[in-house]
Amino acid sequence: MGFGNYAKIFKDVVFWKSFLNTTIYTLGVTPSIFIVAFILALMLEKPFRGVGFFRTLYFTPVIISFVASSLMWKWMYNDMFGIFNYLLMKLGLISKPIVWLGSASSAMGSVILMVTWKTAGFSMVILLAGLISIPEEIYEASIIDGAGRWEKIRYITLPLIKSYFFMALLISVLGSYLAFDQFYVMTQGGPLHGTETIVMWIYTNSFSYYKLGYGAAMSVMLLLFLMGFSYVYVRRFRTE
Amino acid sequence: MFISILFLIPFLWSISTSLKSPENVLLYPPQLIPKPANWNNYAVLWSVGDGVFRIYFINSLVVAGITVFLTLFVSSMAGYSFSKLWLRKYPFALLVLLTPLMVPFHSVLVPLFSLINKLGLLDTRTALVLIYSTFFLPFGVYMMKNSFDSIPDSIIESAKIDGCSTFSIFLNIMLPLSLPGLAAVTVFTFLNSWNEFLISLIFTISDNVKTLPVGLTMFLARYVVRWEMLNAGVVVSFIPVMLLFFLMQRYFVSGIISGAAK
Repeated sequence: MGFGNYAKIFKDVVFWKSFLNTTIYTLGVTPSIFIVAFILALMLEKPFRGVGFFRTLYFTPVIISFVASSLMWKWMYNDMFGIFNYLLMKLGLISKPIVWLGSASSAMGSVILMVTWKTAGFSMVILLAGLISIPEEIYEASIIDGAGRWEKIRYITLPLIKSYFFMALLISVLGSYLAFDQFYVMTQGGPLHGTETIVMWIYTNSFSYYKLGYGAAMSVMLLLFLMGFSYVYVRRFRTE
Repeated sequence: MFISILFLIPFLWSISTSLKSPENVLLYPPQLIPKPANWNNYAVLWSVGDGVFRIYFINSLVVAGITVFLTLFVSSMAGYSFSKLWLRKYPFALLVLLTPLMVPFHSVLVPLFSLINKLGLLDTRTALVLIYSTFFLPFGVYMMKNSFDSIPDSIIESAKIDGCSTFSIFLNIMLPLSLPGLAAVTVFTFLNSWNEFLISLIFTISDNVKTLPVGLTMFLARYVVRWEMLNAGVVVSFIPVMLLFFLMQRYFVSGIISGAAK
């Protein structure tokens, strides 16, 4: 056998397509999660009546399974009876129902929206830990120096929670590259491998086509890629 | 306020759908509040196809329960050993133990499959318990070691003087003191085994060993237009994790965050 399986990877069009898909997914879902998580964390940083309730509320989707949330959203996205099209039409944003999971790009967007809902609470908690660790005096000093709302966020908050940000970002990127459940349930990788992810393709090859050796070779490539990424990422962060 | 409503919509819509009669599910415009509320869906769900959903649910409980028990059992003792007993002199051993934390099981599916196959454990709940325990143990040991580290050695010394045996110190003094650590490990392990999908999908074939997440996707394939039943299934699958969440909320975030941050 030797390295035949590895050579095959380079000629496998679907593998590279799935790699591209997963990268697009990661590039889409990560900023989306972080914008929502950061806004939520800023809103819930200062204690107020019922702050615990809201923190709990935004965290709730994190504890349910990807399968359950994918099923819920698959039904919401239903083109004829789903609530998603209904609400959008009521608000006048679209004029006729859209088959959200019907084309590769809108299916990808739909999954990204679902995952943002599902995991923003997780990143929110990490960022909140960072925000709470910033001493109040720094903000007070900046107000005396005449800093506005945006300047405070840009020059104080963001630099001071950088380590929390980098940690949450790494977790999110690694998790996204391993995406499987949400695509398996919502799109089955279709249409035409348009939302096929790397782990899905490994799964299909190993356990549907029984090409176990080839599946293992792709797994090793994925693992090396993720380890390489983490190594470069952590090193860059350390030197900064 | 507005954002919190947006966050709740998926839950509310799912619960609402689960209470509709089959005809009312396929109405346009959609009914927001089910009229009349059809609780019967849950009874149907529980008994449909010779109670197959019930089997999935029990399987999930059994697998998650035994995994939690095994993980707690091993990780509390190992963590204690790494923190207070002879293993503390070998930090390298801890490092070796923690290495698997870097390897997601997505990347070792094929070797795992061959291993479980050789052991003759394909299509058993034992396989799931073994795999989950193996992958959650490093985190458990790490968490328990940290938990024991925060307890001062002087307590052990004084217990020894009072004539306590090593095991009795561990069981009667140290374990009760490390309750937050145990709770965090419980939450992390239960949640991850309850929600896990890929391993369960690969290693279970017959209905009487499948767990809930896989069972729900089976339902999706089998009862594709019965959305009221699918949503009832989804709602039932939340109940145990939600209960755990509200009972142990304090330990939840620490369990999940430190689990991911490892």
